[in-house]
Formats: sequence, C-alpha cells, structure tokens
Amino acid sequence: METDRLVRFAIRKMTEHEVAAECLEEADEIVIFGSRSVGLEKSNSDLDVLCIGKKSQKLKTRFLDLTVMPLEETFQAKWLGNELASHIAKYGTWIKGDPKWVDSVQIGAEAVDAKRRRIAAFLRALPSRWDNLDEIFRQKYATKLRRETQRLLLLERGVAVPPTRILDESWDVFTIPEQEIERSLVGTMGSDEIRFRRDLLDRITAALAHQTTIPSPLQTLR
Amino acid sequence: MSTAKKPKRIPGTRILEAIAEGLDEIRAHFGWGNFVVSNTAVTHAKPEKKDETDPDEDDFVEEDDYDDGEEEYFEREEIEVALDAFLSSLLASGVIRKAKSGKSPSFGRVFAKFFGDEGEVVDLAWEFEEDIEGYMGWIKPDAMRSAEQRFLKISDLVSKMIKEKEPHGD
Repeated sequence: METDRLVRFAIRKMTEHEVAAECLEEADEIVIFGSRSVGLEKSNSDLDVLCIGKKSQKLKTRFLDLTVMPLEETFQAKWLGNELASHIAKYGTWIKGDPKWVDSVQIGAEAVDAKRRRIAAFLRALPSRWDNLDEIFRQKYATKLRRETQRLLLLERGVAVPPTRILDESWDVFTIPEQEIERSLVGTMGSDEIRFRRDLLDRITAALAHQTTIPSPLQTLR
Repeated sequence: MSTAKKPKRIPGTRILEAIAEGLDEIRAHFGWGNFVVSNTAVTHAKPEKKDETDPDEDDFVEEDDYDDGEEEYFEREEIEVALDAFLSSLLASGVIRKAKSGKSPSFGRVFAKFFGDEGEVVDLAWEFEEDIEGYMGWIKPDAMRSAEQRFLKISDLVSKMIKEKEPHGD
C-alpha cells in the first residue's frame, strides 16, 4: 500500500474508535507497522499501530491493534533493545511526527533470551499435551514454533524481525538455511519426546517446502 | 474495561458444566490465586500439583527473575497450551464445532458463541486471551496479574450461573 493510501486508511480506521481517535489528535508519533506498512497485507490483515503519547494503553479489535506508550519509555534500554522496537524502526511507516528514538535501537541480549525462553516454554508445555490437542492446534503450534525460531535466528544475528508474511513466504531473502530452523528447534527439545519431535518437524518441513518468494516490494527489504 | 453487564444468553447446564470443568482444571494446574509477578515472568509462591523430586523442575526456575530461589514461575506459553487443550476437549466432546473457515477456536470466541457478544463474562474472556497473547515479546509486566484476576472472575461467574440454574432444593 503506497504511503498516501496507507495514511488515509489508517486515519479512517483510527477515527472509528475513541481511544485511537484521541491518539490521532494528541500523539507525538504515530507509526504503522506489520504487513500493511510494507504493502504485504491481505484483505483481512489488521492495522498495527504504535502511538507515542502521554500514557500507556492498548486497544485490540478485529481490524486494529493499537499500542500507546509514553514518550519517555521509548528512550529506555528495555524498549530500545526490544524485538518490537527493532521491527518498527526498520519496517514502520511514520504517519505523524518524526522518529525520535529509532537511531538508538539495537537488538539486545534480553530480546534474544526472551525469544529462547518463549520457544523453550512451548517445547516444555507441548509434548505431554500433544496427543490431546486437536489437529487444528497441532498445526497452530507447528506454525508458531517455526515462526518463533525464524525470529530467534534473526535476532541472534542482530537483524530486525520482518512482518510475519515474509517469514512465511520468503525466508530465503535472509539467506539463512531452512535446516537451521530445525537444528535450532531440535537443540532446544528434550531427548525423550521423539514422537512429538517427529510430528512437529514434519509439519515445519512441509510448510517450508511450500514457501513461494513474495515479489516486489519485498526485494527492497533485503 | 469489563463492565458488570449480564450476558445476552446463558447456555444450558451441560455446556456450563463442561466449561466450568475445563476452567477448574486450568485453575488447579496453575494454582491461580497466589501470584507474584516479576518483570519477565510470573512467580508462584507455593507450587501446586508438582512433584518436588521432579528433575525437570529446575527448568521452570529463572534465578535472575527474582531473589528467592525457592519460588518458581510458570509461563504464559504454558497457559496458552493449556487453554488450547481445554478447547480441544470441547471440540472432542462436541460442545463446540470447528469453524468452516478452518480458523482455530479461541477462548474469547467460545464465550461469545455461548453467551452472546455482550456481557461481562465475554468481555473478560476476550481480555484474558489478549493478556496471554502478548505481542512480539513485548509484554507489560502486569499483564499476567490481570490475566489471573480475569480468569478467576470468569471462573466465578460461570460457577454462579450453574448455581442459578440448579433447581431449588437440590
């Protein structure tokens, strides 16, 4: 979506909700991020918005995911080293104000550790429940773990995490071999979870095999 | 924010009991009702339903997260899996059906289906789901505390509805 259209779309969506409309008026910075920011949205994609203002708030509806945070928080190390901050700094489109904090963003060890902990937590919780989970949820977790491992591999290299659709459809632009996803996951798993492991990895391998490279505008994101 | 609105409708006792049973299991598994929240995780003062000799128990301890090494925490990822196991059991018992769209059922959607799209219990279910979900590793430290409070409230509201459906004298 080109910038003018994106701005018009964002304003229209934000004026539909009181909290978001208030942000439009008062925020110092408004940034669109996620798939819509890079023109890779689907028709049902929601609009991800970060508002830098005076307070801390969250609004999530079917079509709008709004995070409001106070300006002072954007200068804190916890934010500047964060996965979301690095994603927004690289892929965000500012529709109001100037980016004041993006030059200080640097993916921190804490972001990498947090991602490792998240993957490990899923891998601890899943094996004992795997057989009782409906097929729809097994597929959900296979997708989730594949994406989270892709994000981890990028964060470990100090690379900002792209919108999810790029992880799903064009992992090759990062020149990180698909096999590394499996290696990273297997390294985190316990040794006594063979059935779970085989099923999970089979699903991930199948998903990666079906990737199709997204054409432009992705190429500009390399 | 949640309001004290009554739900548009209340499902039958069988469905209420299936929901209550699942909620009880989650509640017992996590021992909700006794949280201490740290910056990166939720600590639980007194572990419940845990084998103290479990060699894997150390996996749940992150010493950097708090001072008292005897405490342990559980993660929102574990809760998310438990919720999906609960939804799987509702699917398996026929209480809910898969959407034609192929979309997985969600905690909030199940409540909206049975209780209508308005009402305190439905709002709480959506908010709870949001608390657990987080976003790209950016989680407000108090999100798990509010998740716990919302979960307990949902559980209480469902129990209350079951009691109200019971015939007098039972």
